[in-house]
Amino acid sequence: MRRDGSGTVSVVQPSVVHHMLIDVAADRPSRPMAEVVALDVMQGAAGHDGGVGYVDYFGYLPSCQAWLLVGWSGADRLRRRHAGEAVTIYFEGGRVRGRATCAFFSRPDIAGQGEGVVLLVRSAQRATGRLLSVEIDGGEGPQHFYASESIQHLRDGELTARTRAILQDAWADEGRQGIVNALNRGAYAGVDTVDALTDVFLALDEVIACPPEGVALIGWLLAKPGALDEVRLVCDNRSTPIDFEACVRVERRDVTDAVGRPHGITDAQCGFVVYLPHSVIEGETAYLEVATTGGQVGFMRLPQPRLRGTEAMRRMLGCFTLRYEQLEGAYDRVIGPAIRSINAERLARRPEVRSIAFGTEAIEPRASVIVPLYGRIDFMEYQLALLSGTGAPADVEYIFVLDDPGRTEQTVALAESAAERFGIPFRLLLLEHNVGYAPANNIGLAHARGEFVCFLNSDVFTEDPHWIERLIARLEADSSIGLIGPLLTFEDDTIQHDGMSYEVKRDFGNWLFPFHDNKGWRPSGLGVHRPIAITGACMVLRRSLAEQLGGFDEVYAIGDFEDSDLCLRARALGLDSAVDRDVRMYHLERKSQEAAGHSWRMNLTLYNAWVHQRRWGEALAAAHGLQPVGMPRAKETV
Amino acid sequence: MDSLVDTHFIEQAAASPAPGRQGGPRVLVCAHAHPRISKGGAEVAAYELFRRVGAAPGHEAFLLAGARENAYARCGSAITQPFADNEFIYSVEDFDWFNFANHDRRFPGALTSLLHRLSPDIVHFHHYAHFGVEAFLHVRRALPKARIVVTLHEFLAICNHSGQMVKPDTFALCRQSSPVACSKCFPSRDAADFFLRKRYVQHFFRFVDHFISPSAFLAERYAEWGIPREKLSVIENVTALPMPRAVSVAPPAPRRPGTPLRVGFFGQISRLKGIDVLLDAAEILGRDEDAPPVMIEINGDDSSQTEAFRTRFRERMETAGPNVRLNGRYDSDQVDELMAGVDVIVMPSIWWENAPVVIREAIRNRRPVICSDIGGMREKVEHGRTGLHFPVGNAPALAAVLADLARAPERLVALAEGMDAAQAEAETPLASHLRLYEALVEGASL
Repeated sequence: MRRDGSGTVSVVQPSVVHHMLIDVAADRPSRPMAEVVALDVMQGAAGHDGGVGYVDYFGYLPSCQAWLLVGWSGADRLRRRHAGEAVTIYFEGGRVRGRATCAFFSRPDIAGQGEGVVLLVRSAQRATGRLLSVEIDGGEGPQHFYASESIQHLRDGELTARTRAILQDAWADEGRQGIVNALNRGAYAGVDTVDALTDVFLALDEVIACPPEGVALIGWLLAKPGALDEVRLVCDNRSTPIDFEACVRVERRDVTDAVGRPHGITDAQCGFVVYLPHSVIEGETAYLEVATTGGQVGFMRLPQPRLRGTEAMRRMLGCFTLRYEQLEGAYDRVIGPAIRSINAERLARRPEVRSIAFGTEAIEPRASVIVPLYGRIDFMEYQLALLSGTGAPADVEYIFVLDDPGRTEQTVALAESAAERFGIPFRLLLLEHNVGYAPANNIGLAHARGEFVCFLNSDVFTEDPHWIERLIARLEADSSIGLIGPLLTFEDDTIQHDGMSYEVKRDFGNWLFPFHDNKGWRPSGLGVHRPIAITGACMVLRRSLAEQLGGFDEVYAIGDFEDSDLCLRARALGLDSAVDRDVRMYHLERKSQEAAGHSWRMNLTLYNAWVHQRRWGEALAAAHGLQPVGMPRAKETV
Repeated sequence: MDSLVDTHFIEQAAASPAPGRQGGPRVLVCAHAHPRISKGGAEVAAYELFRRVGAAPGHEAFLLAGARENAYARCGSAITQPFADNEFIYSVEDFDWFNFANHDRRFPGALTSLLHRLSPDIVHFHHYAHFGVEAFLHVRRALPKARIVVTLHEFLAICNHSGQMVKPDTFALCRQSSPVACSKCFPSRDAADFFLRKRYVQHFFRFVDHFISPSAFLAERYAEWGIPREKLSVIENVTALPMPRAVSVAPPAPRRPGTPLRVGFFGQISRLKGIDVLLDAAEILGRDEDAPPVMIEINGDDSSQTEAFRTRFRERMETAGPNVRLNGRYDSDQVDELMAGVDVIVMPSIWWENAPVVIREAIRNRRPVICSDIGGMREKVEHGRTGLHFPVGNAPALAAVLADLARAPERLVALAEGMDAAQAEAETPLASHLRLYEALVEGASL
């Protein structure tokens, strides 16, 4: 269901409409004005001063996404109206808005009283119940049409046949031609005809399913000036117009050069990514209908989506580059909802988890340390090696979550060897398929038994076997702290992480990005420091809190921003984040992640930033006075 | 002084049981390989240490050597005993040369069982390759009272370029490792990887009680790298010495005018050993009509070098003048005879060297050494007393040193006498080892 601008629900289940239409349809002759039973003037119908008309029959034309209404009008002012005026059709179950095209014809039966009118109102909206009235806006005040007593609701074949006959005698003008063109649109016959269009060129490079009922299309569109009427995605009884103004534009010089130039079209921004929610039904044929202003219509069957999950995200995120003000609309309308949908579907299938214990586990561990592994499996070896020693193992269960199924064999072998070499008990969770950072941690959390949990990145190292006890002691000593982490340093002992604040990135839509304070600087200061948030590279919290918060929010895809989100959600419960500067650990943050070579990875970060911004942007900006660079500062209050 | 007598005196003294103690320590020597399987310098040194410690009165010694061929593996046993009662062979499986980690899951258990069976007082690792640095933790866990000794070989822990501290692309000398510098030499690994490598090795080095470096130069580099100085001693490797030749070898005789100075090169024919520097110097001498006659003899082998190097070396030998002769490979028992046939030994290595065996062989044969002025060579050859230095890589300087010596061959006698004196002053490596063991076992401060 969709809400229109007024907040009225204007579309209901299509099948319901279908049945009601049949009930209403009746075959009765139209009556002259005198016999019309006056109807209550419905909301929005503001008197009769603009002229009055009556509707004899009407119906919906799915092939051109329009309502067709035929009747007569007592006012000749209508004739002066131009096509394109706004029309509202009132039904019992709501109203439909659209733009009108008009044609006129003689009605000898009411000669002198008025003329016949054919109205084509373009709108994808459907409605329920009886037609009550029609209001046409105009410069000289609205004109109203009412349902005649014998009004008929006709469907496809009869609707078009009767109207075609009428139009043969209609006055030849642009309006008539427009309606004739619309009626001549054939329905999709299963044959792609889009290539036969002479003024509009369209191709799809990728179709990506955005479950449950959405779809994203990646392709290009070139049209001679003024030639494109509209493009719709039709599936079953849904028909979704594609708004190319609201899509993500992609530079495709290759297409412009190869296809555009021979036709004098030079628009290099002819590539597009569009997202069409609620537009397709799984298992049903879907096709694009391309209409030109010259009256041509071409069809293209929608190919079956080829990619799913991460591959689909990578494909979509890898095909565009946006900066500055372009981000906001693109992520709100297209990229954000599409990626969210793809990611949600990807994660809906939870992986099977194999759990293998190496060494003798603590019966009631004080803490559980959860370490997702991806790519660099050898980090597990280093982590355990550097903690190894001659003393008894700490009262901690280490849970390594292998989120890299291709490396299962290698990881199990290394785990076997590490268990023998380092004498530290640990558990290995093997995920059947890759899920990403947040879900991998959440799966680890579900297996954790400690009173405290620590989310730890695999590239964080320490040689202090009591590191977590020290962090827990700090956490327990102050009930206002929800999450605590160590001071993290690079290999040269400069700061990698001493807490996060946020900065407004102008080139990235003025969104907020977590910012590691004093990165690369030499540490100074000891004791507990309270930043706005701390990194997920190493954070300790009570398991009860982690569970209450539901772990990391999996709406963030692959891994980014979820740590900030978790801290901010804890903060919303009144719990601070803290860095214990007395505990130092190494975090060998890799440069490869920052490499700009992968535009899809950058755009994925922007997706996560968008999610974070929509959720926390306003509150953070308000609480911490964050403003885009170059924007006027709010007046400072004393 | 007769070094034979001296050696025995010191060894006897060191091996005498301390009052109140029954016998000397039980020593397990661990070496990455067994000389029966491969005859590298380190494995020979380890084997000699094992053999001679075992022969010292009151001592008992055992050997654990690695073997990469699985010819000695028996299904289910990582450690076997194919050669002798006190010699154990570990069949190496899965070793990581980057961080010296032994991934073989059988090894920790197998080593622990062996340690419990032998219960040594001293576990002395020559090299940690093949066993892995984690082995130090295994020993510490299995036998908390046993002392762990490690002999350092080259700069292995410091430098991923086979411990050479020479840049792999340019062969330029490297003076200090760092994560960033090392990743420049090995671009497939980043600085963080080298940081972890060092952390990994140092973590397990913490369980070692004492380190032995064959040269002060190497020890200094390791101290700078992070081994506590109080845990470092400089002791030369125990080598398989034939009968000392000090009395039987004639010093080099002054040449009659017009007779060429005979210069001997011994060792691997490779770029790092400075073969190009030597050939360049020969060329310079050959071109100089005023230069006194010098004859350079090359003893060694290039069979383990790259094909490109070998091709280039062959070409150089074909165009070399009559003042260069290639004798080819030699066995260790031929060294003395070959050295007796020359007046002076040349060692033009362009890497640091550590405690080169060639220098010790030269001392034994009373042949002065002309060497590059860096690292272990600079340390083991005293300039003006036991030999002469020239600036590393500098062929004209080497040519000048050789020409000067050819003009004044009487200097050779003085240098040979200097060698005799230096040797007499030194404690033998075996005695030093035994003394170290004793001190460690007694818990004495070193």
